[in-house]
Amino acid sequence: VIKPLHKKQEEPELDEYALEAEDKSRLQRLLEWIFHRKRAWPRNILTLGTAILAFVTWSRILAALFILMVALRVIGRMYLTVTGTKTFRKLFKARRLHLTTEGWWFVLFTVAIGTAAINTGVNLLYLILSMMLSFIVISGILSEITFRKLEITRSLPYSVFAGEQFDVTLHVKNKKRLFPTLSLFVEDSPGSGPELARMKACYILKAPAQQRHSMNYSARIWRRGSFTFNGFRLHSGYPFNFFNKHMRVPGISSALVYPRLYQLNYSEILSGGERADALRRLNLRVQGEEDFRGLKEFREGDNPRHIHWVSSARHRRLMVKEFEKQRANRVMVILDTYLPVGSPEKLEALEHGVSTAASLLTFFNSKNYQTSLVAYTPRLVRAKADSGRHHYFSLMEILARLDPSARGLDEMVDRLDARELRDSMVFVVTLNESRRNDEAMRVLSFYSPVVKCICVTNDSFSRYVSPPEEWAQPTGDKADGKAVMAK
Amino acid sequence: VNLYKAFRVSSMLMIAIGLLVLAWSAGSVFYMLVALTGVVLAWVYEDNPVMGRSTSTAAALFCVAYAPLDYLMVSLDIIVAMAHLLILLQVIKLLAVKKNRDYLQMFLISLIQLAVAAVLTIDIFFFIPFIAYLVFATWTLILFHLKREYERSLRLAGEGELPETVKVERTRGVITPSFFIGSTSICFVTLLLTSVFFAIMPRLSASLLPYALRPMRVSGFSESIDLGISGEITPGETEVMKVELLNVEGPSVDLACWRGVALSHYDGVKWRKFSPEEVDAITLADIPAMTAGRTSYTMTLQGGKRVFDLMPFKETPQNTLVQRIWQSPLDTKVLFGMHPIYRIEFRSQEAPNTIEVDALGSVYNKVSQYGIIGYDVYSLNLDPESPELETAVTYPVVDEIDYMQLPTPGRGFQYNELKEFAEGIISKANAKTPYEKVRAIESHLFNNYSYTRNITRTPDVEPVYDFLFNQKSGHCELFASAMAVLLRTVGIPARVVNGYRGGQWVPYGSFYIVRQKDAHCWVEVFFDRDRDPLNRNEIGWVRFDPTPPAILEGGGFFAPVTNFISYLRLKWIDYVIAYSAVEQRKIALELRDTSMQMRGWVSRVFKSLKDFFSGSSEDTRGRVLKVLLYAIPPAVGLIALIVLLRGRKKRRRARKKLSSPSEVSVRFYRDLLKALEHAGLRRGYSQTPSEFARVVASTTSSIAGPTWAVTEKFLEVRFGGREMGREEIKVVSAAIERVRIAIRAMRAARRTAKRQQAGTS
Repeated sequence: VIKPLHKKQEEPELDEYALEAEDKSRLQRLLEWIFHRKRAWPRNILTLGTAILAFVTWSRILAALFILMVALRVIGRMYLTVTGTKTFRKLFKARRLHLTTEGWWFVLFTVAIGTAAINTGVNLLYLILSMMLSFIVISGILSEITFRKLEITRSLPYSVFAGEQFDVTLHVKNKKRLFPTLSLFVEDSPGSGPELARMKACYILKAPAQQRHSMNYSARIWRRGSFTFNGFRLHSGYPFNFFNKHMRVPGISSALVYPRLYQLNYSEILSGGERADALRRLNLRVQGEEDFRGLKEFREGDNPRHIHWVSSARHRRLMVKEFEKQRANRVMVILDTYLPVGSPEKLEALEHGVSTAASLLTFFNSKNYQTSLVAYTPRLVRAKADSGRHHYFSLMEILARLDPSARGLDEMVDRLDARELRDSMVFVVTLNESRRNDEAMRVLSFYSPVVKCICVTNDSFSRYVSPPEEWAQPTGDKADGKAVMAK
Repeated sequence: VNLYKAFRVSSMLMIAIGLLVLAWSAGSVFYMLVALTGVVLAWVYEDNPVMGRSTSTAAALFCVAYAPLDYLMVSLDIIVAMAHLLILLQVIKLLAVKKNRDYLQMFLISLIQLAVAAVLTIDIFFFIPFIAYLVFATWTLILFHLKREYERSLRLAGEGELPETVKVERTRGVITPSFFIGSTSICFVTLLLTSVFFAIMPRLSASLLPYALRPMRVSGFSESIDLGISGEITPGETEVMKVELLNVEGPSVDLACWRGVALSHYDGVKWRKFSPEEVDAITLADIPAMTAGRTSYTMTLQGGKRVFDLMPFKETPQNTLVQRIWQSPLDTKVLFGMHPIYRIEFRSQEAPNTIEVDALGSVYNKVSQYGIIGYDVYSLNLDPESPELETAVTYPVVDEIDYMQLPTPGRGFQYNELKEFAEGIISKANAKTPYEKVRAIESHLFNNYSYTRNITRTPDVEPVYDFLFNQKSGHCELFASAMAVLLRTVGIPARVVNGYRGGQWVPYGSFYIVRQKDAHCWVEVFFDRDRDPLNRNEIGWVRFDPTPPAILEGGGFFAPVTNFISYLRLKWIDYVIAYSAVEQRKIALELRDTSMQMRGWVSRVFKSLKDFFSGSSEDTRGRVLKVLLYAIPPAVGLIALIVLLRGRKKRRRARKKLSSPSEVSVRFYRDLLKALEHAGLRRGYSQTPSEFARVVASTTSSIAGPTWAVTEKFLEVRFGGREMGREEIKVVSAAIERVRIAIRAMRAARRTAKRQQAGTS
């Protein structure tokens, strides 16, 4: 049905265990700072200077300092290399412990009790100190148990449109035999940046052993195209909230995000003669004759008016009439994706164009029109006219993956089939107005009875499209969090 | 149990334990009542707190302001004042409005309370609240964390303002009995870890900060004897020490004498260590009076033990008595033990670097005692019935101390009467040697005078004279004084000794509990084998006790219980209170020995294996065959058993899987269909479950409800991919059962109708 589809984009290879900056320990960050390329010269000068000084002065202290510096450099490098290897990260699953405020208080109090015990030598203080240390150790063990043997999967909806809210279901299966998992926050696709707006994390109060726990969260993705959910981050302060432990869990899945849909002002789009024509065609379906196709057994939901009583009496069961489908009207959307080389500022216009085309296709598909799409993606795509859910999503997929092209509308028109144009209403979505486009429009008008051009950079565009305010994509961190969710 | 209720109960118990243990340790009934009242009020008025925020802040400020006054004017002790302040603050917090932050503060206060209580007490009863605190703290902290995080997640989801009833409903099922079992196991592991940490933590007593603990010292031991006091003596029940006899089995009445101080100077009313003149003379020489004539001994480390060698002695099991003494903090520096002592080994963390021995053989700690101290005393085992004593002689002056000193005659002291009396006793007994004379006087006093605690005195009469000739009854100090004075009048050197005798024998741990009431006084007499004072070949100071026993008090009905508690106390002191680096070293050495033994055992096994295979090839083959012959059948049996067990386990797991909620959910619909078939309702192949349910509902309205309920549940599970909970399974099973019952009733009604029809026809 779909002629050469856009070649599937190569998805970037993601390291599921990659460490985010916040996952790194303080020591790692310090060592990275020390071993940064920028500081290579001062570092080497310091080491060499110490060596030269040690040699000149024949000082044992300086020699020892030099050896110490070299040793620290070697150990530091080794530490960074080892902790940076995939195997190491996989082995330890990039677990991180952070002391909470309560944890700091507890540790401080433990130190105080320890000091008192050492100062006084009272064994009961040693006993309390031991109890507090045990609490710390148990806290570590239990938080480790909480994270163990968890299987997390994600269910995404069938279709995701940019800027539209959708539900993601997370399934957490606790595969432990005995221990339940208590008080766990699951953050989906951490560090996705402003592209994904969602609740910070989902919370599980209790996932009993050997059972599955499901939960939903709502999210929005602001850009069309392929979006990769890059795994999960679990964090929990269980059992005593002294430490907050994080863990990365792999779970990459990608979703194809369809273009953002606009609310089109159809009274404007189908204005004048075009509107009357379009309405006539739209009404045809309601008023037109329907061809008899055959009989079938009556089932729940069938229109009782269509019961064929003679056949029902003959067969001693209810039979209903079936009709041929209405011969649909055709709409062709031609999307001009021409962007001159080196004009990134026009990418926004392309997005408007794609969204407008997607919105038109959505509208006419909902009205049972046969829709077709022609666009350079940058290869020429000519989707044949058809209707139905499958066809619709195929077109959306083309639009979702579409890239700008170096070819214009005139080249596209040259390659169109005249018969198709004759049977279709043609909507041309262009990114800019030019003489070449006007020429192409004249050609199209020659073949097609209804041709409508929507230029997304023209002032009249705002009359056709009214994007809701909340669709405006927030930037930076504001994209995240409950502020968006609250809307 | 819902999360909120469980948290409320658990946190209240944890806080109550902290409050009560502190009030009990501070020894204040008033504060204990305050704590109890606070807990009860907080529980009753949980939903409508007694105090508002501002009121509670004002009350807390008032308490903080009162604390210095408490320290300066009431409790006079900074730790006790702090304990009072902590109790008051906690009670205020309990009665005020509580948010999550307040709960955290209360938990912290309660932990501080436990720590302060640990400083104030050494009693074993601290252990019970400690364990209870550990359990409730674990529960409370877990529940608090769950509650807080759950509320946080609600806030994140924009549902932060949900009423508590809804939250309670939503968290139902989280806190199950298995939660408590699990958390109790956590407590158990925590306790285990605590004991490991406690055992291995290095014991340091650095005294970095200039703070000394307030010792709760036991009074009742005096370093002098005042015979001028009259009145009723109340026996004190406070424990002074616990004594284990390490190389003697069972209780030994003869041996159980824990000598404290010996007194040589009698001034007619009081017994002192030295004469005031001597003390004055030494004081003039700018030497502290109390340490006059003392010899200092410095601690030496012998195999990790802190040892004081007081005299060289070649010990054998026969001539040595070893006593392990756990001495409560006393208001004296005296160390106790059977006389004569030749070595002391300290076991407790608290131990002096130097001890002193005075000229009369009394042993003193150089520094004041703050906590319980534990030490092993090595004494010479002198036989009081030794045949050597029969021929032994005595000297009036031993080690330059005059043991014949008596008050000046005529100043109230009836020397002649006493001498005559003593000689009368001796002649009556026909005693010749010093030892016989001593025995004669001892037995005379023992047999002819009675023991009483109610002392009456004739005014202006010397106490010993009054006791011997007027009262004829008295306590141990009078008996000992009378014997010493009588002996001195007949030229036998004697001295009076203050200490403890006997005590309560506890069979569980084979030790004595020595209480204040066991304080005792007896006499020591010096004997030498050689008549020449310059050529000493001494037997030593021999103990004589002229005091007849008091009326024995029975142990009472609860004696076994109290004995057992005393035993626990001893072990508590031994393993917890007085646990020190010495014990750590001992454990480490034992571990090393065990590992060495293990290593030896392993090497022996390897050696025997090596020997086994090192024979000639024929022999070896034969032996290997023999071993295989013996080893293969059990090995095969074992493998078969494992395979069987694993198969059983697998089958059980498969059965469990079958009964998993999703499987059950498909099966229950089948059960419903089967049940409906009995009523003649069969689902057609083209009918969807909903259509069938509608047909069922239209034909038999009585089962419409349950059929719809089960069908909907089936659709949810089968096509909605939803897992069913245990509760839902129960509900569905009940619905199917209702359908079955209704169908049975219908069939019965139909049968009856048929029968009636047949009857009428």
